[in-house]
Amino acid sequence: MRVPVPRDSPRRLMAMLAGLVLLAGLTGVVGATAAAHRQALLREAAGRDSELVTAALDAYQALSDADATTAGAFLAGGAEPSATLARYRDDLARTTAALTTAAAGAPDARSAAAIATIVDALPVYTGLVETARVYNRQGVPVGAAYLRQASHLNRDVLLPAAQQLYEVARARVAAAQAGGRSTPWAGIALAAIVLAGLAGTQVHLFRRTHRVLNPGLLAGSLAAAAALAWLAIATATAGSRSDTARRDGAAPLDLLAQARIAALQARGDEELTLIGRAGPDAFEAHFGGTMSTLDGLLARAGSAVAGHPDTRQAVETAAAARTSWAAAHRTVRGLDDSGRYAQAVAASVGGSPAASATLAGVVDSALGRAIADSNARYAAAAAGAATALDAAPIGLAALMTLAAASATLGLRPRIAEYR
Amino acid sequence: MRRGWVFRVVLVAVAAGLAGCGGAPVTSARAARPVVALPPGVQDPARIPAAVPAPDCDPRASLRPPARMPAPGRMPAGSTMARIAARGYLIAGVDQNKNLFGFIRDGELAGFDIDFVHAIAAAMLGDPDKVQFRAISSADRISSLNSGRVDLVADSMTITCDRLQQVAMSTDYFDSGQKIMVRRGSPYRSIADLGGAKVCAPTGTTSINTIAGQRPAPIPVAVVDWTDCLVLLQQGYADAISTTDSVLLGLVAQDPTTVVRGPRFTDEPHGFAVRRSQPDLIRFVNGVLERMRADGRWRAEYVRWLTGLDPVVPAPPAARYLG
Repeated sequence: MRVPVPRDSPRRLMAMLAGLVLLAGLTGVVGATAAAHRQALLREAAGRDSELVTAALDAYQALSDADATTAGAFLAGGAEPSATLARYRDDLARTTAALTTAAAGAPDARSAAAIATIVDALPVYTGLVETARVYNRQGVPVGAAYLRQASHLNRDVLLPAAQQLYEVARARVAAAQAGGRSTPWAGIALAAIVLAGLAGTQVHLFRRTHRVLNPGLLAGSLAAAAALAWLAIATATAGSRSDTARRDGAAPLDLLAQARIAALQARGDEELTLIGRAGPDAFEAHFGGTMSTLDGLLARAGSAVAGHPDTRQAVETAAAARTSWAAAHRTVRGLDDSGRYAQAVAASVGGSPAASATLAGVVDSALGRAIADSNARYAAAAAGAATALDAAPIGLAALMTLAAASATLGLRPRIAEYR
Repeated sequence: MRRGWVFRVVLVAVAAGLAGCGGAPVTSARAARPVVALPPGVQDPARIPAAVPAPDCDPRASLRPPARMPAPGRMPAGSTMARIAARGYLIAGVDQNKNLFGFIRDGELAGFDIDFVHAIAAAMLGDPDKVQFRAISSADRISSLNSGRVDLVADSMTITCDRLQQVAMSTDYFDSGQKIMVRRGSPYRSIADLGGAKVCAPTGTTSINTIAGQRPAPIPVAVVDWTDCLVLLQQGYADAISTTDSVLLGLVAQDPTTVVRGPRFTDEPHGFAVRRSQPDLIRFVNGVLERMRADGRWRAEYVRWLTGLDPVVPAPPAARYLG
């Protein structure tokens, strides 16, 4: 539909004013909505989604630790020391706490399904562990079968579900950050059009009346320019803080989390190789692969946190402990492969500072510290990204309303002159 | 007209903007799903390898022991035993989950089979403890011998003509036969009652093949270890376990709510296995068995582990030699 441009000036000015007011209103709505939407996404990435990432990692670490702890206790034989029992209880408590956090309004169907899988299988798992314990205490061989079944359930059902939860949460954070970081082109373009319209009207009036400046239009232009600048600067700031959150927080966190998981798996593999008494078997092969994966992950994590001395030191501690652990593991295998099984078990879970389980524990706790550091950096930068957009929605709406009102006030006397 | 158009654009923009701001949490109720945890490596139903026709043989006949057994630590030069002595220890593949035969007691392997391995090590190397035990599953017994991982398999292995095609086996050191084990109060009296029911045994045993061959046919459920069968029976997943009464004795001992029933429906000799290419080793093992039958040690081992089977100690199975 083509609106015929009126030939006479008052109607022409009125049409221009109407167009400017409508455009300014539209710009206010689009700009405010864009800013509010981005802020909501960034708040989600800093809050709910980030909580879900932490909860999924906690659940994975705790479940994996429960598996390795029960295997180690079985290997050590005899009555389980209270420290081991307490550690297992602590693992369970951390798992359920993480699940409660994750389940409080699970954000989508995939994470809800993963949580449901863990909730369904966890009581079955603990039942199997306790049954194994009772039989082992009596020296009845079927205890080992219950332990294998429990470990199988943990590695085959619980851990994959926790991993799925982590991947869903990580993807949600990445998507929310990408959305929150994107440039609001529609709002910027509309604001620019309003600015151009105001300038065009100014030029038109100058040609007609030879008055140099219309104060109303000038004020309107300033308001529109301020809105344009606010929108551009606030979203750019949010974007750059969001990049910082990803670079200094989420990216190293992901590497460190993978490294911690690899370390726990390798520890479980070493213990299961000894429990199986089968010599270098499938678990031993898996151990070798996992340890070299761990090495690569620690190297990448080390360069990702290079700018943060405390975190870098934690990663270096983990890497050094990993090297000693690999040497301790060779000792364990050497003893087992030459028939000195009892000495091999002692070298693995004997509790001395050079025992491989002790060194694996050093790797785990150092990585735990590095993860906490990266998490804190992520949280600070991600919250800062959302803060950059504080007041932007209201401010943009107000500025564009001001632009429309000023243009109206500026043009009304000119329109009246024709009467 | 024009206002309406602009109004609609604004509305759509607002709606689109709000719709993108986060989804609704999933709160719908879900159905309950019981978790069935199974031991690793369960096959239900078991895949039974097609029977390979083996030439007829006397499974109880083995190679004759040497005319004069060498003294411990003085194995004939160039013999398999001399190579093992040079290494310093015998590598024996055993079960660590077969109660009374090969199982962990106070952190150490113990049992009827384990004691025979110690006796063989003592005769060969002069020290019963010069043994490295490797736990193997029933399914890996023949492959772990033929890949060279172990020198000897001591795992209540039934001697069959089919197995004699793949490995060399000793004279019969233990006779038993297959029965069923069920929960007390269960209606199953013998294997004949178990048509359509789930009956458990490990992969790679003669027992699982025998179960699959019964008529009316049970559903064979294969696992990795004997104790996995006990777990499945306790958890109500399997209706019965079926194998030799000697192995069932070790399983029943772990759970007083279970019971062994029915007549023996197989007659199975058991032997130690070595690689076919090492007849000198099987002759040596047969020589050790010969002595243990004669000097009362076989009887002592039976008394130590297996009187639950029959309090009247039977005579050791008589050795039969080829040619």
